[in-house]
Amino acid sequence: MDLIEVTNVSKTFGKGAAAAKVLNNVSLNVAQGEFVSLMGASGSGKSTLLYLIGGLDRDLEGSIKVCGKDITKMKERDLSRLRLETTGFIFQFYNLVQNLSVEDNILLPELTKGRSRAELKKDLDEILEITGLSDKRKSMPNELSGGQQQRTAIARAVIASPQLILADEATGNLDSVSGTEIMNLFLRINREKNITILQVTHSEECAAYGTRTVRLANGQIM
Amino acid sequence: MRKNQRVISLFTALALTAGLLCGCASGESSETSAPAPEKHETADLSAIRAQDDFYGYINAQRLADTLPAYGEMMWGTYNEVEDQTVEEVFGLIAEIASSDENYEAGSPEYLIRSVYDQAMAFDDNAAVYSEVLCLCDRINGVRSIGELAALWKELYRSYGANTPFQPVVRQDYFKAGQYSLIIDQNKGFCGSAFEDISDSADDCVSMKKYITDMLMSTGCGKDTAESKAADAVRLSLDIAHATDFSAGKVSNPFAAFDFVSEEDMNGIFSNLDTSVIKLFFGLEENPYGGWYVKDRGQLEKINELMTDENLESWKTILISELVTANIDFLSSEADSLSAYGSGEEKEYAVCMKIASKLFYNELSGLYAERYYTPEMDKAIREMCEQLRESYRELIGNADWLTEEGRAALLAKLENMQFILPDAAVTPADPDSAEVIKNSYPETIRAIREDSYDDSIKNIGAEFDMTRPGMANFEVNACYNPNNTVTITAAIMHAPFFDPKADTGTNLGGLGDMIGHEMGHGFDTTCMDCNEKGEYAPDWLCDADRQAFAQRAKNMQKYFSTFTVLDIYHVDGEKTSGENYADLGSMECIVNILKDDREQLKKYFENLACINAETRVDSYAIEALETDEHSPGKVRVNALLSCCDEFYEIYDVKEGDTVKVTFGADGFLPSVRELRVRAATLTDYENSNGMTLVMSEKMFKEIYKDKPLNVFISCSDPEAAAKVIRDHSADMVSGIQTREEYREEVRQNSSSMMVIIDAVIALALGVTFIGVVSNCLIGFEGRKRECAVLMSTSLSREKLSKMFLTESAIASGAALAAALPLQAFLYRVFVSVLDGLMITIPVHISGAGSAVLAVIMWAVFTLSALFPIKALRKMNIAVQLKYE
Repeated sequence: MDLIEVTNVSKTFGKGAAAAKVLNNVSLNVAQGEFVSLMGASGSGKSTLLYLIGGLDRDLEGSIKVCGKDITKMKERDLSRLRLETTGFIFQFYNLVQNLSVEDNILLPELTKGRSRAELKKDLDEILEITGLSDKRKSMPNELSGGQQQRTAIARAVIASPQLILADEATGNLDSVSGTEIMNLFLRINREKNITILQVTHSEECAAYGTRTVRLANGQIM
Repeated sequence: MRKNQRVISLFTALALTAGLLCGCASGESSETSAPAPEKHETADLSAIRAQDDFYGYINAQRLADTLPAYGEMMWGTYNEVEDQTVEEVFGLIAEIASSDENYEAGSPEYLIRSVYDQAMAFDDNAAVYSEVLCLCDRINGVRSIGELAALWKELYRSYGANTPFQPVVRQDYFKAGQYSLIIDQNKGFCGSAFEDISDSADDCVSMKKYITDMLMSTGCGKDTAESKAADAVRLSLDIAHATDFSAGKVSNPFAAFDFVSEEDMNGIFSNLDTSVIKLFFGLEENPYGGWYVKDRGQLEKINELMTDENLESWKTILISELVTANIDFLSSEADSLSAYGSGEEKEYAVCMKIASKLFYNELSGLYAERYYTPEMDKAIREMCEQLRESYRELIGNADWLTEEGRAALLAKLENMQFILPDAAVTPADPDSAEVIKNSYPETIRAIREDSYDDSIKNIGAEFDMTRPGMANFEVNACYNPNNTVTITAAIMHAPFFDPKADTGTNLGGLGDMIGHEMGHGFDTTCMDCNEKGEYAPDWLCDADRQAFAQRAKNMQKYFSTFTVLDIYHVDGEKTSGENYADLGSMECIVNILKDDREQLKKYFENLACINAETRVDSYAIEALETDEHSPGKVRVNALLSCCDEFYEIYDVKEGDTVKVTFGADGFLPSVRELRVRAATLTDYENSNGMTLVMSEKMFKEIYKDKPLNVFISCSDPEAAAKVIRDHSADMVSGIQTREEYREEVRQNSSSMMVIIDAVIALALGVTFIGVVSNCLIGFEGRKRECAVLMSTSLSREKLSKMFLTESAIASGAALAAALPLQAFLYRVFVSVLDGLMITIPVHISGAGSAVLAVIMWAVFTLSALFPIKALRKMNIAVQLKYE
């Protein structure tokens, strides 16, 4: 069984004459441990597909299964639980909570699940070490560079040991050096922790880090 | 004099009616009416009459020619005598310094001359500078907080560097005759008060600049010094925000301290342990089992910050304190300190240091030997016993106290000890000579260490009850809660005391000072101390305590009617203790002189003379908040207004005119000149508004039409109303029972109440709209944050619950804040209505308020449903995708 099974998914924005179909009968399977890059021109629907897989957007036709569960038929509450337990998100603009420190941003998902800081200390130290943020743990997001903020976002996504990471143009806002650092980090996480990664990117270089590249054009997989 | 001011109250309407019904007022006007005097007119000082303003009558001419010196806030009789005393003290030091006499080693003269000579000869500040730099290196080399604490104690003992804790060994207020360990509130670091920096960004900047200068003087670069100073200011601000500034201002010394046991202290010092505190007290074991702590919150915050993480900031503070404590030596050695030199002449600075810091007690003894003669001693001791005898008589006749209460107060009076100037004279101690070292800085260090060690030696020792409360060269006297009165030699100068002066004059000066301090033994604070001087509020029975509290309340109300600069009222509550002491003294002395009009007159005159003062206007206003004493003018006029003997002496009799301010504490005070028709016997404690009789015409001018209404409250109001109608119907226009009156007021005010209700409803509606708008606008700003939370950690349901919780807490907090605001606005509202002579019954029921509060809390909490609804519609992907 694949970790992600997308079957005949279509997505339309707007209604009536203004309707625009951005995904048209898309099917895609991703196995556990894969590192898949989604590429395509702007407006080709790659980010939309990513958010549909992540359950952040539920307005679609077709079916999407994550970890064997059809998320299109799940109740909001169950979907939230599944998402929090299995999926980590990384966005182009980091989306850190600005008034929390690096450490608190990273711990946020687990603390809200009711785990204590003491329980999380070992995991936190490990992920800070992996992401190279050990000396920035008390810093606030606005004191960090873009690369450091993105590494914080990655640490936040990884600390809960998700099965899947969905990354939407994670290097899109970074210079080439920081971008390379992030991609190497993805690679390490994918290999060492066997976390499946599905990334959206415009960059062939970034896509080359993945095990497979899927290209979208006009709402369909090429 | 405003004799009748005290009798004006809300009950005046009843008073007039009572007067009318009793036939005490004739149909003729008994007063003349005059408009309020023009402000700022040039006063004819010679025209001030004793009965109108006795203080001005005695002092106006003298004060008119005198202004406070440039830069000073006030000038007065006390300042005049202080100037004289400073000259005497400096003269004494100069005389000792220049004497060829072979003083005994360890005698005060030997110590003073040795230090004076060393100080005047010393010119090697560079050596001290280099020593301080070595100490700074030691501070910078410290690697842990524990190590820093140990070094800090050493520098505190030897170099005077202030510590984060304020360890004090002082008499135990709760157990007579023993010492206690006190950790006082820390007021600030590096010369900056926590209260100032917590209030003002400018003061934070000044503090940073000061610390930067101190650090730069030790060789630190400007950028590094500024960075370290900023960290130290931040740490200071953390402590400032945890400091309870009200605790530092409590006038009652007993209320400010909590006893914290050894075990509790371990709880406070979780980061360190109590050994740090013991270290500063030089203790291994605490014989008292605990400490008196003034501000527990501040101590907890200091502990919280006493971590290795903040080590550098603490080092910065210690270095700054060290440089500050030794700045006299260092200001010439470093550019960054050049602005901090005192700029005083060297000889003046040395004399000041000897008098105020180095040999305060020794100089006090020498001053007494020089200026306190056996003749004075005899006269003062007689005066003290004369005053005690008078107090004895007054307390014995105090029928407002129970017999048990009178016995208790008399026992306290008998136990009261007078500590006269000669108590400061101590024999030479050869061991004291050891503090004189080879150089001035070494001697200073030895004196500091000796002073610290002496203080520590007191731990576990018996407290010396005969120890003077202040030095003999201070123009003052004081009452210590341990039931002792210290009288200094400096206060025995004329006009306070002159062996050749009359009894009345001396009683008006020094007698009043001593009587005042004795009065403190029975004032609003020290009345809680028993005959041994121990804090024990239950030592008097409930009946006595209640009677005392009622008298204190009357007195506070009375003094609150007095003003400075026409409109700023004296704070009767704040000045309560001092006013009580003043009144006690006045009653005591009048009781002594009551049969001798000539001496009584001299007493009144000198009382006014010693209280003469001029104040800069801004300080006169500020002092109403900061000074526990009433202004000099009030201390004279308010007192004598209560004294029937004064009116006899100054011949205020039937037919005279007096000025009365009606509604002095209201919004529309009205000054009237009234003619005295009859003398009555009242005092400030019994003033109840029943003594002022005036014509209907004038009363109507001031209080409108109210006086002719009679309100009846008794077991059979209808019968009483009938009696009045039958016998006095032509003297009143309205007779009402309480119920009738209430009904009338209710009807008259119903339309006003409709308007008020409408305003309240409108205000609630507008508030609700505001709250909802605020929620929605706030949500717009938090959309992205919500989307992040939903993508990483929270379900929509949990987030909605969070909104509700947040709203519930915010609404609860707002309501909690609204309650005191409501109480305040209620008082303002009622005052305004009173001022406008509008009577509207305003009833606030506790249960009704609680129900309203719960409903409002629920409604405002539910306002969170609006952002929750918006959350449901929010597209998470859109929020996360774009910046």
